[in-house]
Amino acid sequence: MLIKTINLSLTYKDANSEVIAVDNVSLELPEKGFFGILGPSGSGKTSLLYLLSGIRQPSHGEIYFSEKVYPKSSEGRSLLRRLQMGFVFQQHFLINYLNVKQNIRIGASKEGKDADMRVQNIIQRLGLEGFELRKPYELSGGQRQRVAIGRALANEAKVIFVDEPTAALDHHTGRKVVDYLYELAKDTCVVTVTHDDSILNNADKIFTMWDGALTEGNTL
Amino acid sequence: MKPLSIWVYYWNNKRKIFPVIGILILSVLGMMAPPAILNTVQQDVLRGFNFYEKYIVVFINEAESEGLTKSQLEDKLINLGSVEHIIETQVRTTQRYTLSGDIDTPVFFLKEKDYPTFFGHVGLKLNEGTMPEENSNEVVFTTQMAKNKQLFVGEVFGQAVDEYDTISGEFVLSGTVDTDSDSFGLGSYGFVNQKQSITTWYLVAPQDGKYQEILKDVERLKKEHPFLYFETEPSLRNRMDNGFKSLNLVFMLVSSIIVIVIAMSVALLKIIFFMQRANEFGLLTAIGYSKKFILKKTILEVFVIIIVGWVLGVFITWGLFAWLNATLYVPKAFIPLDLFQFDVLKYSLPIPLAVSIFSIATVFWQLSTLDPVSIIERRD
Repeated sequence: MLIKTINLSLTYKDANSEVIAVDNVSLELPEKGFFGILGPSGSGKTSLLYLLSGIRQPSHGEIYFSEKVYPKSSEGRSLLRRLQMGFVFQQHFLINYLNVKQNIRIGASKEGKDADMRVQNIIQRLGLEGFELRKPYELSGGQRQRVAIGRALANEAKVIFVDEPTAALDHHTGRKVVDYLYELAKDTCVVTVTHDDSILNNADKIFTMWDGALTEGNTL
Repeated sequence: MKPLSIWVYYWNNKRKIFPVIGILILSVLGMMAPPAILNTVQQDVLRGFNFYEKYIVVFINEAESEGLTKSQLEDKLINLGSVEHIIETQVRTTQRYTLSGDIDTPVFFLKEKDYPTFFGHVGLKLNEGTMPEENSNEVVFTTQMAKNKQLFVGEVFGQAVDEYDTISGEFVLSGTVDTDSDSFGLGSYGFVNQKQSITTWYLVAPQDGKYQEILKDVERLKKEHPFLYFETEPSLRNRMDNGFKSLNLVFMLVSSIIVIVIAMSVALLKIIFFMQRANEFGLLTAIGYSKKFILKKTILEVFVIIIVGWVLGVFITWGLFAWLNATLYVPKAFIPLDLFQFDVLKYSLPIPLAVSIFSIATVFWQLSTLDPVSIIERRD
């Protein structure tokens, strides 16, 4: 298994009460495939994504990546993300003063000619040829999202976390982005969080969340 | 080039960089120009005192002499163990221009027989023209003095031609004498002595290496005869130092306030720029760049800007000084502005230092409170 969680919980204090964002979640994700985490707004699916990617530290439970427990230090988890994980956020979060090529390149964990070639390949695969030197504000919404996906691919990630990939896009562009994610899932583990079940029609597995807990798809 | 290198950031964010560099350049200029100017003004004033290291000027008013005759005074002076020779003189003053205003500068009227002694002791030589004719209104100036008053040999000066001049009558510049740094004039004793004078002056020359002793002898003589007046290099310097002390203090206070205000302004700009880049830093943290990396990058960005701003500021100040020297200081024979001396450069150093501290503290504080989740979850 690429990622395995055991009784994962995330709680935080909100005013006077304690909110349980993720409640005792155990799941397993293999090295390839398209996996959806589905749930309504506030169900805890994005929080689970942050736990899986190491951006958040769980309150309870364990997470393993390639059989190894996640590092406790934030520096260690950052390094894990940088070397093994890719991230596509709901908003593209491209750096405005960098061009397409540079925005993709910041996702690469290594420097050198290999990284350059890889970035060039990604640009080709994503159909961004001719746009390499454009700044994000000179691109359409779909193109920006493709650049964000390219950034997630630049480090040859073993797992790509995707948060609401179609939320900021029109239907047609959203569909193309989802198709591309399915394409990626043939070689990589793609974990997509969404409240739109239509994009999960061809998913290998769907985890449904409600009030922080998995209601379907729990593999343990 | 690496996309996250500071050069890529600078190249793509010139509009953000230039104001900061501009502020730094102006502040370096603002901090260095006043002390440099003040320094040359002080040195210019001091230049008038160089003469008093070679001669002490003693004078007595007839009305206050309490029965001390000229010959008794001459005996007392010549018998001081540290004195080499004395020269009777008359002194008038004419003006020399400095940036702090006009300064009274002495013109010594000597008897013709005393010229060789005086020239030998001061180490002068005639540079241009002739020495003043006996009993004539001719005067020679040191080259610096002639340049400063914009006078050429054969031209006239004095109250008769310039009502603001302090020397009464009309005098002709008959020549210039060469000396490295002195400012004074020489004229004929016979000419001014024809006019009534109630003050008798002496130039008292110390023996070689006995300047400190002559100062002590003069102090003793002053206790004996309080009505005797002495002008020595230390007494004149003290008078000047007191004048400049309060000016220096005010300058230090104003400088400190300027440094703090500039450092805070730049830090404020850094906060604004940091907030504008919150998305960038949040994203980088989220995709796995450590806060240490971001901190190093932003501190390097700040440092390079500060160093570039400081270096440019120093060069622009240097250019301005060169221009001022060429158009004002050299033609007026002022001491030229000199940037590359520690007394001047040290005033620019608090700027990069304070700006670095304020900016780095700002970046450090902003970064320590940066939460990538709050950034990537923002829906704006």
